[in-house]
Amino acid sequence: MKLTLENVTKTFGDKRAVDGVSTELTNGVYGFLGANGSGKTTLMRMLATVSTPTSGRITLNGNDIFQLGDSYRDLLGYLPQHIGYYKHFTVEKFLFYIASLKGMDKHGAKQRITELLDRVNLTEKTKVKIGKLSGGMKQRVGIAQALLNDPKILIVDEPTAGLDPKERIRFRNLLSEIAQDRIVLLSTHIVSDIEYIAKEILIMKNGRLIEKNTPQKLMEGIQQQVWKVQVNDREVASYQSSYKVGNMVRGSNGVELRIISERKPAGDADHTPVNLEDLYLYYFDKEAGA
Amino acid sequence: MKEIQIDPEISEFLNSYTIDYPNEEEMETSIEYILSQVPQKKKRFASFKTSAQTIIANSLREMLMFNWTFWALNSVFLFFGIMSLTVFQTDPYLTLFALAPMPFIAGIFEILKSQHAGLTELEMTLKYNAHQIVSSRLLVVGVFNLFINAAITALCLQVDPGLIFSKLLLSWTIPYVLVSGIAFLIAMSMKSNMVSSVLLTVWFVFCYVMIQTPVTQEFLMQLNGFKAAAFIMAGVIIWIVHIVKIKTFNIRSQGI
Ligand SMILES: Nc1ncnc2c1ncn2[C@@H]1O[C@H](COP(=O)(O)OP(=O)(O)O)[C@@H](O)[C@H]1O
Ligand SMILES: [Mg+2]
Repeated sequence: MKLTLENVTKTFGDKRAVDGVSTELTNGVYGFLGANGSGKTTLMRMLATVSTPTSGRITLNGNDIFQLGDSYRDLLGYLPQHIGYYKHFTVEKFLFYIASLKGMDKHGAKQRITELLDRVNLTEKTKVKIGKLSGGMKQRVGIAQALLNDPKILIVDEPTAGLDPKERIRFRNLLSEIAQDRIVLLSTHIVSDIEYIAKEILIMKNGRLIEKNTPQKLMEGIQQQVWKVQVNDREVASYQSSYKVGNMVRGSNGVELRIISERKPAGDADHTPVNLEDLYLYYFDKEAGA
Repeated sequence: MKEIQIDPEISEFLNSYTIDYPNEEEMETSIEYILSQVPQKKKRFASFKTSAQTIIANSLREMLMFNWTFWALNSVFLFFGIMSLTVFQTDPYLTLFALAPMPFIAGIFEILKSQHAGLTELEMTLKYNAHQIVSSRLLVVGVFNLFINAAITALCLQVDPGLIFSKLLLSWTIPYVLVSGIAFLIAMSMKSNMVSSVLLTVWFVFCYVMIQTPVTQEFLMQLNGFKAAAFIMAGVIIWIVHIVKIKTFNIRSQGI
């Protein structure tokens, strides 16, 4: 399967929320990384047929996805960034309802719901009304509904929002398990969500797709710009004002700073292996997520 | 029988006409063109048919998903309708008029619940998507309302066989088509799930004022076929606009 984006653009008035994105997506996990407002949600909405591009084309194996209509939607699992629920429905009823809207028969749905509730660790909540669940639990119901129809194209927009670290790991494992034979698109601003599972990382900035490559390649690309330097407490502030400073580790003889910089920040600075947080910092000039 | 004689002059005139037979290639292109047109029409009809079938098939599920308050509220309306017609002996025409759009207004809450719950975006991406879901719910509420109105009409005739059937029919068709259309128009622009309660209150007040005012009562009683047709047409036009809106709502929806 191949999803192709050709010069996809979406404008809201003068604002180009997505600006000429062209790329190809095949089976595997793709991590969309970008600051708030960089266009991740807008792009994912178009891929989920929630909205149409202002210009450009999205095709699946050569066929326009909007023309494919319900035969495309049949392949789709989608978790919107902001999703609501019918609060009076129990978890089970809600999932049954969505399953039937996905065209699943009752028997198949029942099996699948049991299986998925176990996967997202909500089996005890089967008969509980959704209005009574915590935010993280609701999010897991959202993940379960996206997976109901065993989608060949799974689009999840900031799926780990509201999940605790343990649940995030569970979710990551679930994704990497199922990603073999499907296209998974995941947006996040938390690099650890995609660190080990993403086949490729797509970096969005101001509506543009500025990088698309394997995590390895992307990290190699900035290898020469990641430094480690030992400073004393009084120097920290001055480094922070003149460099992009990532992690700080307090040691016995001062503080060790990670610095992203084209030139060597200090005489005794050393190169250090790159991680994804450095990458995020490099592109987004902001604190990287946990 | 006489043989038809063609005037030699005419015959000559006709013979002077030569018909240009199209060559093979031209013929083929025309046939291809025609063939390309025929299945298209058929396809469009077939797709309309399947989409109508889908909406009808889905409406049963949607009906089962309705909140009990919808059915409870309608039972109350029906109860009061029956009571006022039999026990309180209210004017049957006015009673029908007042009752006619109530099931629909009560149902708006169900029809638009995806929007209120924040589920429209997800539903747009499902196999049976948001516009089919809304259409199915509309169908359930519309047919149910029709059923209630027919039942009350029958009851009216039972209570007083002297009532004029066509007048009874007009008494509920106008609010059923026009008031529901206007109510839905207002509801679509309201984001609140209070919409049904608010609109029902407005309708109660309207009916109360109308019944208290002889002029409007008179107006309603004196509706002739022509005026009634105009009201119903207006309602139908509003509904056509709604249906077009609903059909395109997955691409132009709420600013997405
Ligand atoms: N419906 C909309 N109307 C107007 N502007 C929008 C709309 N949706 C998104 N935008 C704008 O488009 C840009 C990209 O937003 P979004 O796709 O939500 O980014 P992200 O998901 O990366 O945070 C933002 O500047 C946002 O304000
Ligand atoms: Mg977003």
